[in-house]
Amino acid sequence: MFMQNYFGAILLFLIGLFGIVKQRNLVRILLCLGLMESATFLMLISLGYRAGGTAPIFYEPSIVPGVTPVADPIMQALTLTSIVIGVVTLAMALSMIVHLARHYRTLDTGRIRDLRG
Amino acid sequence: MESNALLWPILIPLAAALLVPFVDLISKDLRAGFCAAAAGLTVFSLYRLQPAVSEGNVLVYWMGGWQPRGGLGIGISLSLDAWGLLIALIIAVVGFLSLVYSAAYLQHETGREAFYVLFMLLIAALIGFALSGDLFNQFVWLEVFSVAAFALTGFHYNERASIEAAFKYLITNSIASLFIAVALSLLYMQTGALNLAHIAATYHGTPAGMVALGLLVGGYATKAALVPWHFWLPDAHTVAPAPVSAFFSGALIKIGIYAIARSLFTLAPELFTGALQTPLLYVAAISMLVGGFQMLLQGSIKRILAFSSVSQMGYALMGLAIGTPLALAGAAMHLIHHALVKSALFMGAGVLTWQGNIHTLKEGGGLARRMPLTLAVFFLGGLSLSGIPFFSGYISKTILEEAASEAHFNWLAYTAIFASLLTFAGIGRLIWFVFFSKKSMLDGTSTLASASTPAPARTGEAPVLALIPMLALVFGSLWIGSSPGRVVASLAWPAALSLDETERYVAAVLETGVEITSTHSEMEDAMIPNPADWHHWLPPAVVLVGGSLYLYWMVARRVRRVARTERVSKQPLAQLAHILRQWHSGIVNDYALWTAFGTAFLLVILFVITQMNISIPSP
Repeated sequence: MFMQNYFGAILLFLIGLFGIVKQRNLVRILLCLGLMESATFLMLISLGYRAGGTAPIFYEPSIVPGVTPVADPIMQALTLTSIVIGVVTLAMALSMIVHLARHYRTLDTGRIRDLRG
Repeated sequence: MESNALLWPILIPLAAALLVPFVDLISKDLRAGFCAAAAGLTVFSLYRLQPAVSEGNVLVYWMGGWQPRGGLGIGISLSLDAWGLLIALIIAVVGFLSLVYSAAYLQHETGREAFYVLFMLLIAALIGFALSGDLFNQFVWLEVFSVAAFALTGFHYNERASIEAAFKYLITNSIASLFIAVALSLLYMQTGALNLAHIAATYHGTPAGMVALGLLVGGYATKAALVPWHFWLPDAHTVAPAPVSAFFSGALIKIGIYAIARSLFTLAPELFTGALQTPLLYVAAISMLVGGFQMLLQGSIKRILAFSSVSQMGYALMGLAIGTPLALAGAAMHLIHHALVKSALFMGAGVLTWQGNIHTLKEGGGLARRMPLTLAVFFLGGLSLSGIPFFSGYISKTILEEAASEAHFNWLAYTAIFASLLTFAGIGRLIWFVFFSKKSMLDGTSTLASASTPAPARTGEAPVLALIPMLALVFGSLWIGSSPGRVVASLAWPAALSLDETERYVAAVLETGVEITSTHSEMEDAMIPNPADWHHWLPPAVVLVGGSLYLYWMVARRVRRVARTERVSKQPLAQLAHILRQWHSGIVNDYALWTAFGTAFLLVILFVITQMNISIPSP
């Protein structure tokens, strides 16, 4: 348990959210989305931390179940899966930005608003 | 009950998605038929499970045989109760009919094999979401269907509006997904579990658990397109190909309502009645009204229908927020009703786009004689949507209004009736301008810039393959509306009970061996509204008279669409219209802000109510 990781995650998450709301450039919005994703990963991986823990490989004779502290492997699996998912979204969004730049000749969100009202 | 039959509804569409390119090698004309056949098989594989589930059983399948031990569910489970079955059936049926329709609609488009792969992936992921009994697997399926949906929204990537809508959809929904990811990590921290039943058994209303619940509801509300999380929906529905719009409105946004109900009733029932109920009642009322008013202000046909979807999702949330078994049954009926009618209407809008090259009301006019069957679909669908007797809309709205007045939320019942009136006026306006008015009666700018140069209109009715699903959906609505008993008893009422009796779900999934008998009996016949019984005909009568008056006023005064100008008249209604139009600003930053704001608002309310014991008054 270390508190600074949680505060770091919350801070990163809020900075990312603030950036998405404030930045007018599409690429910067995407970077801020990446920041929010990283904050989530930090949160997930920190939850699996155990002080002095090691890898949970129980057929090693030196690791006694219930006695030796081990890290939570579920959170690590979740983090890896989330990273993969994040990459898919990122790739998709980048390809959309390329098309948007082709159509609108700008990356300014204030000028990409044909659909409104 | 252990059953590996649960795998088939996910595996069939997933396998079909992978096999489409190989079917292409044989013949390119087989694609649509192959996919429709796979979707039909999916419907069948779900329908086979219906008798067992409707009796109140929960079917469970543990992946890899990792059974729960001593009430701890560590493995990954698929679990299907009546509420999940309802949503999965809606997804499969609407998917099947949209695929049949797409065979006619996509005749002249390119990139069709990508379309079918994505569409089957979307169906598989949505059903996977509905069947998954584990929060993290739900999250993964959610990302899979979101990515497929982003791609399908931007399917016409050579049209600028299409990519613009897909990008806005992606940004708002990615933020929502991250809220859900944070929520599930908080719940894991609190309970040490990811399995829904396991969390439900060990959940305590700690502050971190409450933040998690608020984030879950906020995230799923974005998927369900409730106000103020709804901004992506009108854009995405407007630009997507017609079968996709039909499927989005019929199935995709229902999954949000499904997940909200799961997190409210299965995870934390006490917290819901204690704190979240009142804010959700307000969200439901605002969704109904904003969607209804916006319908009257839009120029694009599909945008009118999309805002109607926002309004109808408000009705479904109204059922959840009231929370009694009767109201939940009403919400379930409303999901069925809306899936049938709105997909039919979006398919009709697709026919207009492609037979007549009509995107906006301005371009329409005088089509009644050329397309009588499409007109019939719009007319019957519009009546059903506004809750006229002998249509499915009457059944669900009557149950919802009954439940609201039973729970002393009369104001909500009146709001619902008024929103129905707005729906009637909005659809009536659409039908008038597209089918009956003489051309060039309506001024104003087109919402779709790409539709500025109309090509010469093709005349004539839609092809048979497009008409069959539309008419099937509308007559399905008529059939449910005339004899509601069977559908209510076999689908909606068990769904409501499975939400209401969480203990049974938990006991069945975790195999605790505790036998929990149902406290509710069969739904009494008196609760199922009889369409021929005129005692409940007052709300539809109000809707008919009020809506007709508005339409008469509109036609007689030759009302122009509220143009997007700087000059706004002092009239209060015009000012309201101006504010609503300004609110949907089209800037993606604003949409992200409102997504975050809505969720933050829920969190603040949760804290104010539970930590400071301040209750929020309900009018």
